[in-house]
Amino acid sequence: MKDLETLNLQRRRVLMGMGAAGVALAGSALSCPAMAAAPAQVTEAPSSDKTEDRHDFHGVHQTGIVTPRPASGMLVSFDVLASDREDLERLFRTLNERIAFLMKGGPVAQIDPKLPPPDSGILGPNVTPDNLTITVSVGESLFDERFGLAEAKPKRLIRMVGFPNDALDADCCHGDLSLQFCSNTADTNIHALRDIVKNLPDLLLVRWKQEGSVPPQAPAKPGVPAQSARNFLGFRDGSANPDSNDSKAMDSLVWVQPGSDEPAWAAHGSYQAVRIIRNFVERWDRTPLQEQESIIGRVKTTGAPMGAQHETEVPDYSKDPAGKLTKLDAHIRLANPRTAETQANLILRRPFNYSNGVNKNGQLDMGLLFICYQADLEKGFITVQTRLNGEPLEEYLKPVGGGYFFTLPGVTGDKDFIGRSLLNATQPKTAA
Amino acid sequence: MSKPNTPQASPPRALRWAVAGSVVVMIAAGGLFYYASKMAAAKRQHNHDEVVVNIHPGSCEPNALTVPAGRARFRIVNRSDRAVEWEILDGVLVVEERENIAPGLSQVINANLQPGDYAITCGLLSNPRGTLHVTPTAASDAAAKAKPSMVAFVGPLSEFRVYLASQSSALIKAVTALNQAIESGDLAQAQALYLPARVAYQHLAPAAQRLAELDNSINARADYFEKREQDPAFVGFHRLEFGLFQQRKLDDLTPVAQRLLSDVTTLKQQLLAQSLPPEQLVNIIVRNLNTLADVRAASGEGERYSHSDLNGFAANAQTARKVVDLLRPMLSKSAADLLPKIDKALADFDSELDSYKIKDGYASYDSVSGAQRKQIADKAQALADALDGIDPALGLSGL
Amino acid sequence: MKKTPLALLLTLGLLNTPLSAFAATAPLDLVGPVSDYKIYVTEQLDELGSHTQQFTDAVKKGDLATAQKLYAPTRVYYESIEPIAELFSDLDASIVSRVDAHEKGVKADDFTGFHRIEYSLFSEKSTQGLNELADKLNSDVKDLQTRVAGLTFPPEKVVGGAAALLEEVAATKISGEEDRYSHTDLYDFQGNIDGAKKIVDLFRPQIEKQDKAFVAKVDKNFATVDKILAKYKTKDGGFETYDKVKDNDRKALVGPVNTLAEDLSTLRGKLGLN
Repeated sequence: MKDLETLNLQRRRVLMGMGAAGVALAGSALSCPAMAAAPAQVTEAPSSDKTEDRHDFHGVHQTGIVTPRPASGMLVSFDVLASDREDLERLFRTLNERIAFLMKGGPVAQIDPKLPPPDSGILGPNVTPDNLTITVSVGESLFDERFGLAEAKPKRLIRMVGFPNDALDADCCHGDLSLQFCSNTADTNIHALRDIVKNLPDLLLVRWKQEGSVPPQAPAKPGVPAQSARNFLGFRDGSANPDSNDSKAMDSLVWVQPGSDEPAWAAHGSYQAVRIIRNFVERWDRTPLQEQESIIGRVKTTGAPMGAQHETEVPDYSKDPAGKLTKLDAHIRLANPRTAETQANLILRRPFNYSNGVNKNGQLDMGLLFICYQADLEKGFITVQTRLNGEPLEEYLKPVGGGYFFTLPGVTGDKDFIGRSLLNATQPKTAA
Repeated sequence: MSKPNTPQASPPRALRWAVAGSVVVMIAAGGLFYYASKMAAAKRQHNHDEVVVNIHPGSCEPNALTVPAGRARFRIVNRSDRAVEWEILDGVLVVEERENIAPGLSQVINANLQPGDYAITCGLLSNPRGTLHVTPTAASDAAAKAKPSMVAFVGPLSEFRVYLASQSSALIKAVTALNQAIESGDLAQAQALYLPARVAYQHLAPAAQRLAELDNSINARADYFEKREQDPAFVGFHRLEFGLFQQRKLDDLTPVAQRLLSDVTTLKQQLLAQSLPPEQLVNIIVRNLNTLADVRAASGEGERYSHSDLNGFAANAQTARKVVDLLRPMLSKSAADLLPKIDKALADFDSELDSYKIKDGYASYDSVSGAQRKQIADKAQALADALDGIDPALGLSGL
Repeated sequence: MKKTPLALLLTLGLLNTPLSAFAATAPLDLVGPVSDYKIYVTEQLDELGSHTQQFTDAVKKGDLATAQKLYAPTRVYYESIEPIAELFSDLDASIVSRVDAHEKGVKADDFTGFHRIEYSLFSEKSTQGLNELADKLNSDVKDLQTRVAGLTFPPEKVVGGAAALLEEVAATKISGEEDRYSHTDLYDFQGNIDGAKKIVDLFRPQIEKQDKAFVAKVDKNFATVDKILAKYKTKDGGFETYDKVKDNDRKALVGPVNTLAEDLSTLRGKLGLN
C-alpha cells in the first residue's frame, strides 16, 4: 500500500507539472478521493456553467426590463452621428442585427488574417450569450430637427432637469441613445459594447458609460421569497418593487399601452430614467446604525420595514401616523407613502452598484447606477424623486449624471427591427 | 351697651332681664363663635391639606414643618404689623413664594413639593429662617422611578437659557448706562435710563426671583427693611428709584448704582449657572403672573416712586410669551386643547396692557384707576391659570 | 474577550462595546452646553454679518485688492458653524455652493454667494457686475441670522455637528477643492476644525465621564492638525494658499482628520443621543 501511495504521489507531482489537462487524467486514473480535484492554475479562467444562458431577443417588449437582473450591468449613452433618416435607419438595422447575434451567441466570422479581426475575441471564437440582454432607448434630443421625428416624440420625454441636491456633470448626462447591457459578467457586457462600437463607427459616438454590479448570494431556499441584492450602503435595494411577473401590474405601471395618449408607435415601450448617484460611503460608514435605519426606514440586516421580520412585509403607515416607527422623512416612506393615490406612482427599479475610482481627497467614488422603468415618466420617477427632495439621506448622496430615455417597443419578428415603428410613424414609406 | 337716658327711674324688670339675657346670649354666641373658629382652626390644622404658619414680628411659628411629597397647602398668617412675604427655599433657589401678605391677614400657598429639605423665610429679611422637611411617598418614589425622557425639554430649556443670557447682557448694558448718567450728575438722563434698565430686569424677573439673596439686593422694596427707605440695607433698583423719582436728587446714589451693576453682573453668572428643570420653566412664569395679579396690579407698590408698573407688566408678559412659544411644539402635540386657551389669555393680557400705551411707552400707573387695575389683575390671573394647566398636561412635575 | 489579531478593532473600541454600553447623559446636563453653543453660533454669525458687510462694500466700491484680502477671513465665520447653517439648505446653497453643484457651471443663474464672487475676484480678477450678487450675499447672511435666532437647536444636531465638520474637512478641504479660484482653503480648514473643537470643549465634562481616554485621543489629533496647519500661517494671522501645502504635510493631515471623523462620529452615541 505504501509503495502505491508513494507512486501516486510522484505521479501526482508529474501530472501537476502538466497543468490543467493533467488534472483530469490524474483524477480518472486514480481512485484515491484526495486526487479528484487538483488545485487550479493562477491564470485559469474561472468556470461558469451559465455562459450558455440566453434570452430571446424577439418579443412584444424588449428584454432587460422585467427580465430578472443578472450580476453585471452597463449603461452607455451615445450621440447619434447619423446625418439623415437613411443613416438613422441603417443605425437601427445594424443595432438590430448585432444585438440579435450577441444575445444568441455563435461562432465569430473567420476572415483573412491580414485584416483586423471583426470581433474583439474577449469571449473566444465562439461568442457565448451569458444571459446578455441589450435594451435600446432614445433620448429627447433624437427628436430634434435632424431626423424629422419631432411629431412622434413621446409625450413625457424631456431632457433631465436637475433636482435640488444634484451636482450634474454635463459630461455624464443626457444622450441621443442609450444601450443598457446586462449579463452574468462584466466582460460579456464589454464584449457586446465593443462589438457595437466597431460596427457603427460613423453612426455612434460614446458619450458616457457607467458599469455596475450587484453582489450574488446563495440561492433562496424553496418556499422562502428571494431577497433583493444589497447596495453600497449595505441595504437591500429593490424591496417593494412591483411584481415583474405580474403582467397586469406591468401593463399598468411599466408598459405604455396601446390606445394611451402616447403616440401609437410607442405602445409596448417604456420610459427609462437613469441616475448616477454617488454615495459618500466613508461618511455613511461613520453613521450610527440606528440613524442609518431611521434614514432608510428599514432594518439593515433583513431589509424588513421597521418593526417587521421579513423584507416582503408591507409597512402599515395608517397605524403609524406620527412616524414613530417609520419616520415621516424616511427614504422608503417618502418614496412610497402607500396611499391609494400614490399607487399610481410606482416604478420598476433595476439598479446596479458602481465603483469608479478615488477622488483627490482620497475618498472612494462609488454609488448607485439607478435605472428605473415606468409607463409615465412624470407620474413615475419625477414624482417620486420630487417627494424625496430634502430627505435626510441626501446628506450621503450626490447625483452627478444620467438622463431620461424612451425604451423602444420590442422587435416582433425577423421582418421587424428595433426602431422600425418609430421610423414608420414619421414616414410610412419605410420598407420593412 | 348704654342705658337709655329716660325720665323713668329704672326699666321694667322684664326689660332688664331681657337685656341681661341678650348679653348672656351674645357672650354665649361669642363664646360659641370663638369655640367654633378654634375648632375650625384645629380642624384645618389636622386637615393634612393645610399647614398653618404664623409669622410674628421676629420669627415664625411653627418654624419646623414636615409634609409628605406632592401637593401641599400652606396658610400663612401675618401676625406682624407690616407686609411680609413668605418663601420656600431650596438652597439658594426660591421654590414657592407669596409676596406682600398684609398685616393681620392670611394667604394660602399651594406648592407641589419633591422630597427633600427646604428652608422657609419668616417675615423680615433679618429674621431667622425655619425648616421644611418633605418626606417621600409611594407616589413620589414611583414618579421618580418612571422618569420619562427629558430630552424633548433640552431644546426649550436651552433656548430659555440663551434668552436669559441675552437679556442679562442687555440688563448689564442698561445699568452701565444708568451708572454713567448718575456719575455724571445728570438727573434727567438718569431718570430716563432707569426705565430701560428696569424693563430689562423685568424680562428676567421670573427667573431672577429664584435667586433669593441676589434678588433681595437687586429688587427688594423698602417695606421689607426695618427702617424702610432709610434702612442702610435698602439698595438696588428701588433705592435708585426712590432717589431719582421721589427725592429727585442723585445724592448717595453712586455707590448704590455701582452695587447694582456688580449685582446684575453676578445675576447673569448665577442665572446661567442655575439648572432650571422643566416644571420650573413654567412655574416661574405662573408665580410671576400670580403676584402680578394678586399684589402688584392692585397696589402699584412695585414701582411706588416711578409709577412705571405697566412697563414691568409688559416685560413680564413678553417673557411669559417666550416660554409659551418655546413649549408650543410640545403643547400642540400633547396639550392641543390647552394651547388655544393659553394663546387667548396671552392675547387678552397683551391687549389689556396695550390699551394703556402712550407714544412709545405706557401711562404712569398713578393714572390707572382701581377698577382698571382690577381688570389688569384679572387678565393676568386668567393667564396664570391657563399656564397652570401646562404642568399636568405635559406631566412636568413627574419628570 | 479573546485576544485575537483584531487589535485594530479593539483600539477603535468597537468590539469592546456591548449593546447600549453608554448610559444616557442626564438631559438637563445638556442644557448648558447646548445653549452655550447657540450663544457661540450667534456670536459667529454676528461676526459673519459685519465682515460680509465690509467685504461686499469693498466689492461694490470696485476695490479689488481689499475685496480679495477680505474674502477668506470673512468665510471663516461661516465654516466654523457650518452644520447649523446647513440646516437651512436653501441659504446654504445660495451662500456657499460650489460651481460643480450647477449644471451650467459659472454661468448658472443660481450660482451665487461666496464662490461665485470668488470666481470674479480671483479668476476673472474683476469686481465688474457684482453689485447684485454682493447685495444678495448680504441679505442672505442677515436672513440666516434671523432663522438661526428663531431655531431651537436640537441637541443631537449640536453634538453631531463636530463629526459633520470633520466630514467637510475630509471631503473638500483636505484636497483644496473648496476655494478653487483663490486657493484659500486653509482658512476654511482651520474654521471647520475650530468649530468642531468648540463643540468638544463644550461637552468635555459629559464626554469625559463616559470615556476619558477618548477625549485625550481626540485632543491629541486636534493638536496634530493644528500644528501642521500652523506651519502655513502668515504674519498677518492668515494662511498661505493651498498650493503651498507640501505633499507630505497633506498626507500627514489625512490620518488625524479621518481618525477624528471616525471618533467624533461616536459622540452622539457616547452621550446617549440619537
